[in-house]
Amino acid sequence: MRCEACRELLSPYLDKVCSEKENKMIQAHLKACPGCREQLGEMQRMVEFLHHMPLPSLPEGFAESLHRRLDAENLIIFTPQQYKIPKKQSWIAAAIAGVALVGGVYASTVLPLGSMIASWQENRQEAGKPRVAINEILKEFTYDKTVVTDKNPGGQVVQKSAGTISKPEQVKTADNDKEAAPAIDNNNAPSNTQVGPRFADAEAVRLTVANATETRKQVIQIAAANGLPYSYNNNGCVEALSGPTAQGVTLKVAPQDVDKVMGQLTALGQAAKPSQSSIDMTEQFQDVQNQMDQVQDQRNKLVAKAVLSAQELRQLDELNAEIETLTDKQARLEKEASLVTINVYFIETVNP
Amino acid sequence: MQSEEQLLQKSLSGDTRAFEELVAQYQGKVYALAFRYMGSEEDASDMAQEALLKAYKSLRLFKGNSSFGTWLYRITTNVCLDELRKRKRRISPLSLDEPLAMQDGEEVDKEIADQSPGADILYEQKEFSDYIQTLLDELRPEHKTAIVLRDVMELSYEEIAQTLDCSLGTVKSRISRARDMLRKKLVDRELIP
Repeated sequence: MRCEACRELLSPYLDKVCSEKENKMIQAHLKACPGCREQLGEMQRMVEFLHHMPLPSLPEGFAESLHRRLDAENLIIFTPQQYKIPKKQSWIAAAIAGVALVGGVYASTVLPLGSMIASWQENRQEAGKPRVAINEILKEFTYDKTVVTDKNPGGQVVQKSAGTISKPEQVKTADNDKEAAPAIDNNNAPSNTQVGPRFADAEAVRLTVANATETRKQVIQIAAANGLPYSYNNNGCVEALSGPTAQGVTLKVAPQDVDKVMGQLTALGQAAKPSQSSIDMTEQFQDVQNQMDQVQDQRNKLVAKAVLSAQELRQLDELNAEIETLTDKQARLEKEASLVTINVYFIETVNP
Repeated sequence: MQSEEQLLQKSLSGDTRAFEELVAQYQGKVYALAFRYMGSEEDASDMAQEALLKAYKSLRLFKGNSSFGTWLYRITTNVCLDELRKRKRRISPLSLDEPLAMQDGEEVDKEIADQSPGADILYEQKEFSDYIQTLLDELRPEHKTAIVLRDVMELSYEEIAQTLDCSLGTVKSRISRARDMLRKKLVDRELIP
């Protein structure tokens, strides 16, 4: 066994996850090789003090702070000054871009917006910045999507897609064709794939019932019976309300089951016509795509080399594993985007 | 004394007190993990809370394929890595002319003024530990997570695979590479006896 091969295996050897055959070979080699023995010793000592590194204890006030945040989570408060109805021209711009949000917001200026924002809270911690949703979408459509080729002084042709907000000095029109196939470039600039806007569908159902708490239980039962993920929403309320009666329910349903579930839901009370809207998942998709681009770029550079060192081969392995992980992530996002979000709101009738 | 299962059920129906009790035994470890990822106590506190909040919000996605603790570590890891990525983008926005890959797969060596303590100091000292943290911060995210989960949090390979949502083979190779990189840094600075 050569030193290089042995050193590759020292880490799993230390953790006792090598095969019997590998163990025998390593032990035989170590007997005869002081260099590898030294490296193993160094690794052992390093792992020892990592084990013993002092870890800070939970700071004071951590539990109280968490407590407060959990409470806030159950009670998303929208007051008029915390969000603004978007200016008309923003909506026109969005409409031109063909965004489905427009219909949902015009249907009611308050409730669907609230529901969209509530479902949007996943990645947005601040409850007071709903306008960001609109801005993100507009940003998407003001990106310069021109694909340009750029010849650098070294005479190498490099393909860049200007997916970032374009600055005039960086964008040059090509003197030759713009459809050059992406080259595995010798310049190190990565190409960023722009994902198209991705939206998941959402429906809002408003039920007028005698007892909201009771009906909510029934909705949860429907969810459980159908095996659907559910969570609480703020019941589309503008004013602060306390307690569980303020909570509506949000379900995630596969497209083919939507009709069935909607049927079951609307049977629970007097339902207004459901209104439709969209949830913007573009950023999540773009994030994963960006990571994928970076990793694939690095991989392509390695693959382009005629000869790879052992270290580079290892790197290639890791990059391939990374690509696998990211592909899985993309598949999961796709699945999530295919689900329809149903927001159920309760309106309690007051008995005179 | 309620069982974890009971607390889980209560938490699922919106009982935040039950959730707090459920995570009480894990929050120290979640915080410690966040600390080793982020490098500062303040960040660790923020990230740990965000992770726990995220866990509460997506509690019904916990299928029991792994232990609850491992599931929390997974969320913590993702929350921290996302934040670190965001910060990296903010500090050095991807310029079209900047090389992305490192030469020979080496980590980008940050320009830290070398304050390496001498080799004769005690390893228990906090200053040495802080210094090791700066070396850990130089590692690429996938290597940092692997070595922190294995050698600091002492999780098994299987638990790490579940935490990172990758294969055992990937776990093995990442731990191996991470340890090698850290070892080299320590040897270069003559910090290994």
